[in-house]
Amino acid sequence: MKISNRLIVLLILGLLIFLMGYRGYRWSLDHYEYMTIGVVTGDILNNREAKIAAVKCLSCHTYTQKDGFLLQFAKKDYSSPYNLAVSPDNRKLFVTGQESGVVYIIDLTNNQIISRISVGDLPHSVAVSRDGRKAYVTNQWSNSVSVIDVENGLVENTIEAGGGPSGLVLDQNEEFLYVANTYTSDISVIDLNRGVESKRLRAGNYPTGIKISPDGRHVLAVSQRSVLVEYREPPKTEITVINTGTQRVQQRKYFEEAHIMEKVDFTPTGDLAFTTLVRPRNLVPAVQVENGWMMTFALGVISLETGKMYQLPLDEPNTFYADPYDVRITPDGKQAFISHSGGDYISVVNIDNVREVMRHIDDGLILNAENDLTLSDEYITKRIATGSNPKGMEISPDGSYLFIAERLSDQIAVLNTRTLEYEKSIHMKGADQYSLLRKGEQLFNNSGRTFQNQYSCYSCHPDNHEDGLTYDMDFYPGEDLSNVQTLRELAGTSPFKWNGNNVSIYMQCGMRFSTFVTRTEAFSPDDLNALVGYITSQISHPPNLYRSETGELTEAQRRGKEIFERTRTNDGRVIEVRDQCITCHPPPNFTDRLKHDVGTATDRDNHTEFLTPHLNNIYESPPYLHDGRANTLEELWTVYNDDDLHGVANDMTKDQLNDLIEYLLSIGSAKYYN
Amino acid sequence: MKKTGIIVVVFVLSLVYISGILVNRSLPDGHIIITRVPADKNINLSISGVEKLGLENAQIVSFYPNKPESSLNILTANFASAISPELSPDNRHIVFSAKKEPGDNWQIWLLNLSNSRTAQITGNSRNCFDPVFLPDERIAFSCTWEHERYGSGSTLYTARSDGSNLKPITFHPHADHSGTILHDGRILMVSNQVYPETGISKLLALRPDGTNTGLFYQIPDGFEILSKARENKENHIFFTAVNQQNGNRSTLIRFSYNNPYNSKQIVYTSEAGNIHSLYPENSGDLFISYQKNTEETYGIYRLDQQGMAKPIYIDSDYHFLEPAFIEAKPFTPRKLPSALREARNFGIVVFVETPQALMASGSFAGEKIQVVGLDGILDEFPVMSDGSFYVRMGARTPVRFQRVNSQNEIVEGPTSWLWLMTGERRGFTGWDEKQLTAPANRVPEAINHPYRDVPGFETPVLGIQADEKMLSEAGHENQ
Repeated sequence: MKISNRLIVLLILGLLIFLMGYRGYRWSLDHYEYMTIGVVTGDILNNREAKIAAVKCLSCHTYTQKDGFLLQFAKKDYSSPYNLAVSPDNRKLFVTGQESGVVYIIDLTNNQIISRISVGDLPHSVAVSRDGRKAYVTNQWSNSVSVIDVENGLVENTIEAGGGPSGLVLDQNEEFLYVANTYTSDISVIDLNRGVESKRLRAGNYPTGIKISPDGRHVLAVSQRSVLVEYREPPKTEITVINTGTQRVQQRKYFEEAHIMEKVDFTPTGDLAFTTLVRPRNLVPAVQVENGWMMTFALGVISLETGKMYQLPLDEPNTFYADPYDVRITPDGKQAFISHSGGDYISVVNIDNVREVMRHIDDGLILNAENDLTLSDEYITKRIATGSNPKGMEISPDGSYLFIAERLSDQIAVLNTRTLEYEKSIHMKGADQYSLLRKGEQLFNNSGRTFQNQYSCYSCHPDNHEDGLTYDMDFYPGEDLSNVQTLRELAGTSPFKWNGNNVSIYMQCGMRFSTFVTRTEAFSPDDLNALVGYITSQISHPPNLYRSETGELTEAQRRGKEIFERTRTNDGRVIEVRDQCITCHPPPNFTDRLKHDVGTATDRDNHTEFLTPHLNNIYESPPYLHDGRANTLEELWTVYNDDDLHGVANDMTKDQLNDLIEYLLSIGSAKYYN
Repeated sequence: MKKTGIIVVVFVLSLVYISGILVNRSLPDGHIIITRVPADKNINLSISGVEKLGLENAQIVSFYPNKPESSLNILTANFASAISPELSPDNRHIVFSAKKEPGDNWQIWLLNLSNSRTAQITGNSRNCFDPVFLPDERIAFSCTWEHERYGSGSTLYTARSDGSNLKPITFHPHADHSGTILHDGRILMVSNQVYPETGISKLLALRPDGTNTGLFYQIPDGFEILSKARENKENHIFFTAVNQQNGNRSTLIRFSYNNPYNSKQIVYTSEAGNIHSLYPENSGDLFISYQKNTEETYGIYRLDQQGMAKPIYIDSDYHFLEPAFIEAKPFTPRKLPSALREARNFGIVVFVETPQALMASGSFAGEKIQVVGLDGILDEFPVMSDGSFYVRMGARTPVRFQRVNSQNEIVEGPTSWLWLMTGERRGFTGWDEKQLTAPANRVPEAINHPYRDVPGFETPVLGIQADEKMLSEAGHENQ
C-alpha cells in the first residue's frame, strides 16, 4: 500500500475513533441527564461534564442492582439493635438485633455480650419474666414468638402468632402474653402454660406498641396507621383498650389528625398513658415546609381517669424533632424520655409540667395546643443528641439508667437519668465501619436533610413502606393529589411517581426532590449514591400473609388467577388484549411500567394517564388509585370502573370478584415469579 | 553534573511550592478584621443600615488580638472610605462597602485577603451597603432607593461575586439591611417599614431567592435594633438594641434559633457606654465593639459567657466597629434550592384560619378579604366559611391583606407588606405574623374553589428593578 493510502486509512481510522468516542461520550451524557436530571446542584456543577464527574457510571450500575455481584462490597453485617428489656435484678440487658436475627444478652456489670441467641426473622421486641429466667421475643417476619431459656441461652419454644408480631407484654400473673400483630392488625393472647395462642382480638390498623397498666387490669395497644376514614378527611388512629380480666376489647379510642403511634407507656400511678405520634398535614396544600406545614410530632397523653386525650407538640417553631418512636417513664413518674428516630435526639419531658399544661387546656387557658409550636417549651426540659436512629429504650428498674438502642450506630447508649449525661456505650460488635448501604440507610432515616429537620424519608415511608395517606403536592392546591407508594422492592419497577416522570430513583431523590419536597440543600453525589443504593437494593417485602409457604395457591386464588389471565368475558365475548388484567400487570412485578388511561382521573387531575403500579404485596398498600380514593381493592371495580376502562370486570359475579381479589392478595415478592 | 542538576530542579520546585504558599497566604486564624473610623467622627447609637453610610475616612483593618498595634494592617488603603467587612465561607475574601473617591457613591467590593487585590461588584447611582456572602458564594447586599410618594428605603439584592446575575430579592416599601446568614441557609435581615408609616425594626428571614419572607423575630416593645443579628455555634442569635424605656441604653440580646420567642435573654446592658456591633466566637465568647463611656472611643472587647467584657484593642484616635473574627466557621449554611420559574409571573397564597379563631368567630358570614396594594385596594372577595382564602397574584407586587366585616371595618390586619416571587407558593396560618401555629390538618375550603386572581399586577416599584446600570464598572480587578 502506498504511503499516501496508508495515511488516508489512518486518517479515516482516527476520525472514526474520534467520532465513536465523541458520540459515545455525548450518548453517555445524554443518558446521564435522562436518568438523573438535576441530580447535582450549584454553580460549579452546572455543566454536564462536571455532573458526570460527580456521579460516575459505576454509581448507578453497581449498587443499585438488586442481588448484584458488586453489592457484597457495599454491604457489611450489623446487629441493628431495635428494642430492649432489662432483667428485674438490673444485671442483664436483652436486645433484639433486627438485622442479625439474634437476641443479645448483655451483662451490665461489665457491658459484655454474654449470649447470642438466634431467633426468627426480624426480631422486634423482647419481654423478660419477673424471675429473669424467661425471655419472649417477637419475630416480625416469622409470625412467631420465641421463648428463651435465659440461663441456658436457648430457644425452648416457638409459638405461632398473628402476622408481623411486634410489641409484646406479659400479664400480671405471667400466664398470658399479649402480642401486637402489626400486619394482621390484631392482638394475640398467648397462653404461656399451654404455649399456644388462645385468643385473637381485633386491634387498630397496624398495632405496634403495647403496655399493661400498673394495676394489671388493662392493656393498651397503639397503632401505626390510621383506620380507614372518609376520603379527604384527616387520619385518626386507634388505641385499643383491652380488659385483661375478660381478655376482651373494652374500648377503642382515637387520636384525631394523628398516626404512626409506635410505643406507649404508663405513669407509675396508672393515671396517664403516653404515646408517640405523628401529625401529618396531608390535607393541607404542601406550599411550604416552614411553620409546620408538612408535618409535626407530638406526645399523645391519655388520661385514664377522665378519658380525655391530649396531643402535646414536641417541636419548636424553627426546629422539628422527627419520627418519635419510643416513650419511657421513670419509676418515680417525674420524667419521660422520647426517642426521635429521625432527629437523632432524646427529648426529656417533665411530667409535672405536662399535668400543668393539661390543666390549662382543660381550663381553656391554652387553645389549639396540638398545633402550638411554642408549647413544648413548657414541658421539654432538655434535648439530648444520640447516635444514629434511636429506637427502643428501657429504664433500669431502679430508675437510674436509660438504655437507648441506637439502631444504625449499632450500639446501646447508657444515659444517667439524674445527670442526663451519657455514662457509656455498648457496641454490638457489628461491622466497625459504615458501609455505603448503611450510610444510605442512615440518610433514609434521618430528617437532617429536610428544611428545619421537619421529616425524614421514613416519616412518609415508615418501615420503608408507605403511610397510607394522600398528599397535596401539586403547584395548584387540590390538584393532582398523590397517594404515597411503597418503597419495597422497587428494582425493576421504574419509572416512578404516578405520572411516571421520574425514570430512576436518582431522579426521584435528586434535585427536584430537594427543591419541592425537602426544600433544603440537595444530597451530595456521594450521599445520593448511598441513598439510592439502599433504596433499590435493600428494602424487601415482608412474607406475603396470603401466600402459602410452598407458594401453592388456594382454590379461590387459583380461580382468581384464571380471571386475572382470562381472555373472554362470562358470556364468551373476546376481551381485547389491552383490556386484560395481565396485559398491564404482567409478572414478575405485575406492571408494564407504562402509563394508561383507566378512567380514574378526576376533574382535579391534570393528567388522564397514570403509571401502572406494581402489585407485589399489594394487600399491604391501601388505599388504592393515584389519589387514594379507593379504600379497598374491591372498590377499584365496584365503584371506579363503570366503563370497564380498568380492565373488563363488570360482567363478573360477586364470587368471581372475590376470587380475583383473593389472587391479588396472594401476589408476593417478584422473586417468586422470575 | 547530574547530581547538581537534580539539586537545582528540587530547589526550583521547592521555591515554586513555597512561593505558591506565600502567594496564596491568607490571613491566618485568630485575626480580627474591623472598620476603623477616625475618633472625630460622631458615632451615634443608631448607626446601622443606611445611616452608617455617613462614615467618611473609614478603613478596614486587621490585627492580631495578642499584639494589636504591631500587627495592624490596613486592608483598604486605596479607598476614600471602606466599611462593613464580611468574611467569605472559606475566610479567604471579604466583601465590604466602600467609596473609591470621596465623592463616589458607596459600592460593594470584594477583597482577596491573600493578595489584597480588590474587585468592584456594583457600580451604580445608588448607595449599596451591608454585603454578605451567601452559602453558594454569591453576595447579598442592600441598595438605597428614593421615591417621591413612598419615601426612601433600601432593597436587598443578590449577585455573583463578579457582579453578574444581579437580582433584587425584596419588594416592599421597607429599609432592608444588615443581612447575615442563618445555618438553615436563609438570610436574616433587619427591616423597617417606611410606607405608609414608619414601622419599628424587625428581623425578617427569607430564602436567598427572595421567597418565604417572614417575621423571624419581633423585638420587644421599647427596643430598636442597632446591629446585625448573628448566629453562633450553639444556634443562638445575638444582636444589639437600644432600650428606649431604659434611658436609651444599648443592650446585647440573645435568643435561640429554635424557639425565638421563648428564649430571649439580655446578655449585657451597658451602664454608661454603648455596644455597637458584635461577632460570635466559636468558644462561646463574643467580640463586641464597645464604648465604655461616651468620653472614650469604641474599642474591641471580648465578652465572655459570664458577662465580663475585657478590652482587646482601644485607640483614642479611632473608633473600632464591626468586628469579624477569622476562625473556622461555626456551621456550613445550607445551599437552599430555588423553585422559582421565571415563566410564571405570579405566585399563590393559601391562608387557613386557626381553630381558635374559628371557634371565636363562629362564622365569617358577610366578611371579606381585601388585598391592599401600594396605591389602594387591589381586590376584595368574600372569605370562606372556614376563614380560608386562596389567591393568585402578580409576582414582586407588594400587598397587604386585611379582613373586613360587612360594615367595611377592619377585623384583622392589615398584615405587613408581603410579596411573591415568580412561581412562589406561600401558606399562612392565622393573622399573627409570628406564625407560631401549624395548620390543622383539614382541606381548606378555599381550595375546593378556583383561585382568586388578584388583578392589578403591579410592576416593581420604588426604583428597585434589576438595573443593568448597576453592573457597569463591575467585575474588573483593581490594584
